[in-house]
Amino acid sequence: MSPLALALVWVGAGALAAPALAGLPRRRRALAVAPLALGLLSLLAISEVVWPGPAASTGYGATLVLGRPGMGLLVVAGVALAVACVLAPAVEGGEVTAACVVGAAAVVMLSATVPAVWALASAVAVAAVAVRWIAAAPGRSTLAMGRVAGLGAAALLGAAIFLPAALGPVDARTRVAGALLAAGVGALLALVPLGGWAAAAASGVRGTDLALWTLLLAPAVLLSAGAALPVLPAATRDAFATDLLVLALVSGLYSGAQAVRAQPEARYGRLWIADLALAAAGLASLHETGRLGGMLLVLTHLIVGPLLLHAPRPGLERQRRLAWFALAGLPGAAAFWGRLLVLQGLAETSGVVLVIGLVSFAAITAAAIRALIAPDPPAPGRATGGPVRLLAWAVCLAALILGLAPAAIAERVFGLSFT
Amino acid sequence: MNQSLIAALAFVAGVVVVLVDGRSAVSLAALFSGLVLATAAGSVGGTPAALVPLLFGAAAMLTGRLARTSAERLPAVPGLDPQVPVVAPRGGLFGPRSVRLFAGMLALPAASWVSLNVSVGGAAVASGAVFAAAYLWLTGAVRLLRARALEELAVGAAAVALAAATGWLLEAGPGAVPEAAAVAALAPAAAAVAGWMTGRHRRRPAAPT
Repeated sequence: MSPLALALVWVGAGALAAPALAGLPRRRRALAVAPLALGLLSLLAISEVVWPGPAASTGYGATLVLGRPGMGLLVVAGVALAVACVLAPAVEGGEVTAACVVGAAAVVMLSATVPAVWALASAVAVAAVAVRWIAAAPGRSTLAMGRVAGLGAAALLGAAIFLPAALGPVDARTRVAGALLAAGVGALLALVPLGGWAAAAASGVRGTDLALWTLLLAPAVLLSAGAALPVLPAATRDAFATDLLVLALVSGLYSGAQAVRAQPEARYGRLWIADLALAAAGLASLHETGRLGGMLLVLTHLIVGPLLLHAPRPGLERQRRLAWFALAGLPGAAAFWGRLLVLQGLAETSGVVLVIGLVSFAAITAAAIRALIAPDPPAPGRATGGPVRLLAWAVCLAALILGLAPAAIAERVFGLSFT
Repeated sequence: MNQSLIAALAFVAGVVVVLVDGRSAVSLAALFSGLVLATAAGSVGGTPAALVPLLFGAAAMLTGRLARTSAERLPAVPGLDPQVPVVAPRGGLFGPRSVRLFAGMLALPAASWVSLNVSVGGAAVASGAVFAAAYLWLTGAVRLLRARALEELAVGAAAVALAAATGWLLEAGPGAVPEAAAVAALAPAAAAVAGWMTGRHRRRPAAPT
């Protein structure tokens, strides 16, 4: 199956899923089938050719090549979205349609070889998330998502124009291309000063809606930006990486501090933004260990996110605490290895960068430990059913296993060597 | 076409993009942008390149209207009307249009700087075509950044998409028409979504008492 056909299947499923399943009594569980099946369908789209990245083509031609890392991400993200739907207190149906559109855009984003196509896919994904968020929860935070992330997508579209031939020494063109790329990626990854929308939405948007960004859009942007960096012309790459590193380090510090201070219901969102900033810093360090650490961090959040994105529910207290342990950053916990690799990448860059990364690491760890120690506030409502509790235990188990064998699992998922 | 004339037309289209509001905002912004950017793309890439912004700008007007009239035939359902501001505007000396117009004025020197200092494909430095693409991209960005309703986000998306497609054509020439067309297709898609939601979630007229 070609990546284009896969993207069309994602869109078609989104158009059909909610209306077709709206009348079924067990609608919530049935809707979760759509992202699960589509994620697994990605296994059919893998090609033998290595994905050269979204900025690889110096000529023109809209070839789509879905590589192994992209395929792995789509499968895990599809499963994570399905789990998030099942663990949610309620599912409306619209979020599944939006998830399918974002998924289709992610397929194109992770298989594009021409910068304009990559930027276009990111714009479509942002538009789908913005329309869904604004329609579901009209307010300043969701409108800000449309404004700022939309501007980020516009910046990527602008950068795409300058990428193919930005070959020479640093001049106005390479500088503009690098700055636009950094602004675009920074806005989509919610880095300071472009990330206020995500922090506000983390406490104002329901978990299943937030999952569109945390489980699908942000990981796809991070992975594709990581694939773009090595093949960018040197002058543009250096400008992009320098700008992104500064944004990511400041963002890691700020979001880490905010995560420590955050109310329990907003803490996971803040911590995810801080970890995303750390992953972006690893990427911008231009060292392979930093990039792999970022991917491992993303994988950790793809596993625990479906449980922690939602408000606490009766019967899931112990599972949530175990998920927080996986994020605590203690040796043996899943997030520890990802953060350690990112710090290694930062250490190879410079001492000052490492110190800033260490302070961010400490703040993020403190936030996770605070969540681990402080019990969730009593959750209203009836106790969750046995199958849901079992699924939550499965999430915890997966996170613990990732902590015990991070390299082996990440290699299986992304097809990259972590050793 | 004369490069100065293209730049002057781009300024007019940019003012339209910045100021236009109401039910036909996306259609008007896309149509004006498409017409002007067609002259810019055509000056470098010839007729095939000119057709991309022209056709997709016109398509945005048609799909927006078609989607709205189709949706209006269906029963209205509760939901977000793209025309209605999501949040109430803060009180201030200047209204949202004045702020957008001011930002559009600031975009003039920025677009001039780009056209003077950044080489884009075969277009000469100090080219009116590069200025047109840069200015309409910036005015679209202004609309995105100052948006209060979904319709305004769609206006910004349409202008940015057409400008980026033209920029891509200026960079790569007529050989890049497929990618440019894909990018420009975002404009009719934005118009269609805004038109559909406007028709579907329109406010019912109050019953006579």
